[in-house]
Amino acid sequence: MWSKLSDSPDSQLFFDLPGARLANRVINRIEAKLSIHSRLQWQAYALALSEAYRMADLVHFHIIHDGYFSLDALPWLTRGKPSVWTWHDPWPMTGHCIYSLECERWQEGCGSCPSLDLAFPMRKDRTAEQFAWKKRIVAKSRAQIVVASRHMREMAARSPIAAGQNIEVIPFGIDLTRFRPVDPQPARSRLGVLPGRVVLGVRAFADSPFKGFEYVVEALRQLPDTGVPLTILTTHGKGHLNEFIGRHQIIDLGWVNDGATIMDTFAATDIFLMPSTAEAFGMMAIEALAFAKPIIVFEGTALPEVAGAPDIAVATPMRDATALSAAIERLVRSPEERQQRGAAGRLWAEARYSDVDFARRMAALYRKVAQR
Amino acid sequence: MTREAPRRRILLLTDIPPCSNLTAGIVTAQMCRFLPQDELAIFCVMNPHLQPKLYDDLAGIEMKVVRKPTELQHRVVYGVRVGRAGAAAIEAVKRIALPRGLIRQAIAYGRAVGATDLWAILQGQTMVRIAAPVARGLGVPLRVHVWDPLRWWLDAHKVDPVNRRLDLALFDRTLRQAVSCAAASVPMARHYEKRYGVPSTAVIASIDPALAQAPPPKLISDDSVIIGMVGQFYASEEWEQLVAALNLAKWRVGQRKVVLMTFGHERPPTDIPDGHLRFMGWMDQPDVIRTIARHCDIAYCPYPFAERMAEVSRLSFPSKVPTYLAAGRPILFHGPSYSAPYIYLRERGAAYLCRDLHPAAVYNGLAHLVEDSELYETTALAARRAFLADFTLPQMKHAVRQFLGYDVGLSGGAAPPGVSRYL
Repeated sequence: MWSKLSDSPDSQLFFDLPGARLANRVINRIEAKLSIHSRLQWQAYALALSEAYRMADLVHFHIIHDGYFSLDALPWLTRGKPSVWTWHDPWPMTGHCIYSLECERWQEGCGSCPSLDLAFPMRKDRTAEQFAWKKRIVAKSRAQIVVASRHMREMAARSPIAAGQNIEVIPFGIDLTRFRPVDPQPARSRLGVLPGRVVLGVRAFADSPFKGFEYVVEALRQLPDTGVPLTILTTHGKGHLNEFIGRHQIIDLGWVNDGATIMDTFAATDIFLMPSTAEAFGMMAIEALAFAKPIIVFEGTALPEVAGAPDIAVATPMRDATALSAAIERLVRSPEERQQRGAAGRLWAEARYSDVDFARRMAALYRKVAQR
Repeated sequence: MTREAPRRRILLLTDIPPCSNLTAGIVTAQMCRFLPQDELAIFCVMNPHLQPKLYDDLAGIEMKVVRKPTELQHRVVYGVRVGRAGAAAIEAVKRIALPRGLIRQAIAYGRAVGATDLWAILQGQTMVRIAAPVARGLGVPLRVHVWDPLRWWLDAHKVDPVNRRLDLALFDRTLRQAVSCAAASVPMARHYEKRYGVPSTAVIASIDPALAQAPPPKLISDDSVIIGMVGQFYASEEWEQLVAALNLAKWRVGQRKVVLMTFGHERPPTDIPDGHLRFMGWMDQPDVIRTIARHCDIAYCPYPFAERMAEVSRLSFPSKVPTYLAAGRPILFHGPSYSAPYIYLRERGAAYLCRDLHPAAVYNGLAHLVEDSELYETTALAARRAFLADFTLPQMKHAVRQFLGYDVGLSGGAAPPGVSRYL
């Protein structure tokens, strides 16, 4: 891995040489100027020299498009070892963006991009060229491609880049003994939730075009006075719901790194709002389900499928703040529906998202790929 | 035949004399009262703009007042723009030339009064520049007293990086030369003991137990909530966040109207709508305590979150805390979790602790104290207990006499029996 956050001895830093990270930042700047991405980081070839690669029976590539790994190395590396490549988002299928939102040009080879400012942004429109390059890379690579949702597989089925690829769907899993329904009171007390509140959990990604936070803000503006006091519990950002101070209790946790606070956040929540406008899977959705929390999502992403809408999650039309507000109001007013959807969500998570099942399915895939 | 103990004469070198209208002067006066007046003399290097009101009961202490040079670094001098380099050069000249006269005068005065110890309050670069030379000149032990880390003062007075570095180095040397140190908190005492090897004692402003109030531990009225705030607005950013939160909430918590009641020389630095501010001006401490107990529901204590103020937050202790605790009202503490008052108040359970700067956090603290009557009562009662355990004059006397070498044999940095280890 390029960035290591844990102390685990099971993971190793890739290309851990003095000055390598600094040099890579310079390379990324050059790439930004040239309007290309994940092409000039030729240290990717050095992976073949590493002991980890040489000793491996199989190599599994995860998020390799984060600006430290030239995809040009992929055909060569996947020829050296049996390989699996998980597509965590649609970037491998587009000319530059991670999520194309409503744009359909990724189905036609990109070019004339209407949203060059989306991540990873481009100065000059080189999306058609990048698209063609990715197509060559994917065609020449020998990796088994894995996605986490049918939604992503359906995208791949429409993608010229993924044409001819055999795509496996293996949903991610979580530790269902850690993520489980618990008494919310201790967590509420630790987080400072006022007594007698219904708690809405939300990710306050104010600057992301993909997380739909602006629709939460608008939905809260439209929310009528239900007579039920609300607490809005946010993560990832601070100060974005100040306009509601005095009307609802606002608890901003900001960027949360420690596991205990993340667990408290889920435990304390009554309704989890996740109206992403783009999502390839949605880890937080399955974590909320495992905590038996009802969730509200937008249609048109992987989330309705992953979270079992309409029976378990509530899915409202994409970018419709009024419908989102109505869904929030309905769940706020109905503790019975919250309880029923939450309990069903837990069963859904147990049936689909256990880390044990995930590991078993990945192991089966590894065996299959290694034997080819 | 018995021999009389040799008579001591402590020379207090300070920039603010014991007085009733400046916070530092009030605390200094408390400390002076623990000593026989004939064993104390004061050499005060005072900012000429201050107008201290001296206490009648301390009139017996000999005192000499001299003028303190301006410590604020200006880039425009007599209408001439001197720029950064010019201001630094002027400060360099001041650091060489001006202390000499002050040192000479202090030594002459010390000799005249027969000083046996120097108690130097190291507040500001001028006092740091003269303390050690005066002690050396008199040939007496140096006992230093620190209210706030020097770094904060130098920042507030816009001292240039070069002189700043020289003054901080001088502060370090002065602490190493001292035989004892009075610190503003236990964390500061521990830090200075470890860093400089100087035996250090936490000396916190304390209050006569007779002034302690025991109002009913509940909100005063059903339709309003009054928040008291005592002292200067050093933590202005935190205050602004409180006012911003109240503006967003239209100055209400639930159905209650919110009113801020401020005590001190300064008016609040932010605009507050009519009907939501009662500016009480300067009041003597007993009146402040009584007024908070009678008219305020909650006492607000902001403390800086800013990175540049981290040292102050970690090591200093706000003198408003004992005042609030004596009033028997719960504190709404709005400061970082590493700060000395946070750690103390958490241990004593005497405050609702907001460890986040943002408006939502401080408003939540307010809402908790207003909406949760059980929490309010528990916190108010804990405040009273904390005051009696940690901030009454006997405990302060113990610390002061230890610092000045009257009660030897106690380990430095120790808290008196029953007193919090976190003060």
